Amino acid sequence: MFTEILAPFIGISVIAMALLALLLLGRRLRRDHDFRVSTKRRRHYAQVLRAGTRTELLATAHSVRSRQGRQADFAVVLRDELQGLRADRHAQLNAAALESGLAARLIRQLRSGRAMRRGRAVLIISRLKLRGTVPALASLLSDPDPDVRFAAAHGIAVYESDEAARALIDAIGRETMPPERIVEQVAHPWAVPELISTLNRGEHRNARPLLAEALGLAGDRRALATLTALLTDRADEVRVAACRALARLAEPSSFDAVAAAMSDDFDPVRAQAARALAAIGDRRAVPFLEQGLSDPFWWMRANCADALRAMGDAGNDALERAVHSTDRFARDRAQEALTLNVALGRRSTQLVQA
Amino acid sequence: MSLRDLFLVFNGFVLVYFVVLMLSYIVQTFLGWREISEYVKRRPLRDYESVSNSELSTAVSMLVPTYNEEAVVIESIRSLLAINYPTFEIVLINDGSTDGTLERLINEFSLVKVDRVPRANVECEVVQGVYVSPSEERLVVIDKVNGGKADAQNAGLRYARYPLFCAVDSDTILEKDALQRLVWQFQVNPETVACGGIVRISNGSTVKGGAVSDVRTPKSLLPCLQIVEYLRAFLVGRSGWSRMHMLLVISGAFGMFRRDVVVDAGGYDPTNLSEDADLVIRLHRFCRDRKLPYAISFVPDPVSWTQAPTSLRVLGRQRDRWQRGLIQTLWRNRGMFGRPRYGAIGSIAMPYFLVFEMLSGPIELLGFPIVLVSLIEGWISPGVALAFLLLAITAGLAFSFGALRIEERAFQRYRRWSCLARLALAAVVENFGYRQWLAIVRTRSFATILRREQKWGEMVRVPYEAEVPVAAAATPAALTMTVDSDS
Repeated sequence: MFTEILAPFIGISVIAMALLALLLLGRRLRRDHDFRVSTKRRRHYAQVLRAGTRTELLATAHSVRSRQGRQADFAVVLRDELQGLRADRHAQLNAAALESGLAARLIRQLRSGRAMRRGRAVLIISRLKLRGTVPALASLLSDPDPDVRFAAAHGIAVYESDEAARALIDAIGRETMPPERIVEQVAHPWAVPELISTLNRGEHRNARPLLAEALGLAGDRRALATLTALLTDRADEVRVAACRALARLAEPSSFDAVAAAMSDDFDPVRAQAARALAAIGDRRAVPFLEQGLSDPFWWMRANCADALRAMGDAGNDALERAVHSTDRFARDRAQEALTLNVALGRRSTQLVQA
Repeated sequence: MSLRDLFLVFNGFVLVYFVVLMLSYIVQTFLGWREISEYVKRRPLRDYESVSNSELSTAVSMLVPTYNEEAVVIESIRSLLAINYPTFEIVLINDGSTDGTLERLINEFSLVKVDRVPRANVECEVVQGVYVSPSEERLVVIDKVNGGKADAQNAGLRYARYPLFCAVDSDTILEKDALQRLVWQFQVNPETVACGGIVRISNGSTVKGGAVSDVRTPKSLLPCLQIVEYLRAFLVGRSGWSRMHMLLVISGAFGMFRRDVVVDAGGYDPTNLSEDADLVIRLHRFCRDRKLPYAISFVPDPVSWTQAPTSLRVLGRQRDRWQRGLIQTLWRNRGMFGRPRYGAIGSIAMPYFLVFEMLSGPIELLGFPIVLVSLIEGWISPGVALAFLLLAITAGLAFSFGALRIEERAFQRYRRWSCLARLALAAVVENFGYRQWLAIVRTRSFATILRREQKWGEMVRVPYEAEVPVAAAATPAALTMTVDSDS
């Protein structure tokens, strides 16, 4: 009786354990196999990309056309290899993509019902930089899938053209993705003319602070006049962003405009202006910064202390005077700034103790 | 009702309990598999590098509480400073260490004491000093009176500057791209208030230059058993719960949070032994009470590595603390149970944790004598009892193997066949003694709670790259840790 009841359960357990072990083993073997196949394929694609004949390029593009696994490998190889590829070779590759029907297939794939397929098409199209595909990619900036939207934004930026900049800036207004993620794509010199023209035209009013921020991140002197003009903009956030951008540019010629912003009515503008003065590094900033140490806004006082720290002896003298301030925050920040300068050997100990 | 009836009812209850538990395992494994498969497929679309290259990426404060971690603290900080991320700071909180932790930090980073005004109003023990490093501006050290890990994290919250903070244990090694992968989640979905990564066990692996360079399983059994447990908990459990939007735990060793929301929710609860789970549950509560849109998620491949206990004594203390923390957390948030306002969190996730996590130890432990008595008295057939036991073991195995299979499908960190074999063996062996021992530990925690004891329990750390640490050589646990290594 005992054995009769138990036997089937022992059997089931043993079979289940064996099955589990086999499943695990199978997974490991399959993964190893996939890895080997993928590595071999990628090596082949890389060789063809570097030195393959036109026929080989065509054959590769053709084979990639309709197989998702191959597309995945092709996308990786394009990412790794394209930067080192000569321009004429790149042109040959694009010609092969067009001739083999790969380009047309990928553009169709952008409308696929599966997010992964759309995303993969974005990756390959943008890495190949296929001509005339920016509008198609731009349509995916409103894709329901966030990963596809992000891949599209990144893909469009690869084109580094006015058309690409326009498409990305327009997407800021549509608010389908966090604006910072688009701004980081356009924060490059190639997008500066389009950013300036958008700001000058007064388009996308809500995005103006971010566009100003992008100009700063681009680090392009062409933006100087626009950013200086934005310091008197009516919108507080735009003035803050302009100060931050000017801090990034750190152009001595913007000193007067930034110094004027130290008396702005909006607290964060003054705080950012202090940082900008520190970045510019002009010693004429010391009186402005010393005055800022007694500003009613704590952030402003903190930034002024930090800025004075970077201003050499003149800054240190101002900090020493602030150590005797009645305001605790100014005193603490000044003391901290001096202590750090002593530790870095930028100031003698006696002076701080005094 | 006679004793026989009582025992038979209990046996019936255990049967139902077991069946529901198995069903939940199946659902979790399925959902975990789906979640991680989708994650792996999506990885090529995600340009994580752009997060670390962009100056607009959200800045992160890493909060690192430390207590008597003299042996590993410098190495940990160096490893954290090497993280690939544009804007971050390390706020290390020395929670009243009685060893030379602070002195080592002062000497190593030439720290100078400064006066800093706190930025957030979160209560914590007295802060004795704030130190900054002139040579490494990303490092801030807070020296405070001992108050426990949660209290130290609150102190860190007071002085953290950035909008996101990452809770990291001082013995934890983060992979270079760990932060960018977690931040990605916050940037893709701005409603995210908390996000957890996976914690893996470093015992047996080779650590070089503050990074795990060669992943291996240790030779000794105990850490291997814990590796299987961790894989099960993270790859199956947390992935599954995260897919259902019901994640209740983000590991205190590695999780990222929005600072403003955590501060508004009151920060960490210093009286709770399981401050990480407590915080996540309170975040659910806070956001739902205020009808805020929010997401709490788990991402399976931002990896942190930690040392697992190598002696039963230390492991027992750790698990005892986890169990007491769970009891405390569920008790303190008992108002959420079944309330429609808290949705699936209050009606599914928390009851599940109550019945299948908190009470599983006592039920399992009570089951053994009752089944034994029932067998002796002939109230149940030995065949049925054994068959039940076999099925329970098989189901447990299926759960563990499911986790291993997900690991193989998605990450395959343990490349060697010997490592895989060791893990598979551990998945089998844990059913014979280890699980029962854990049930005893978890049951004992109820008694500790009733005695109102608040022990934390200490973990012995050894330097990751030490060959045979002289200072630690006297400690059996530390020695085991070194001998464990396969290399």
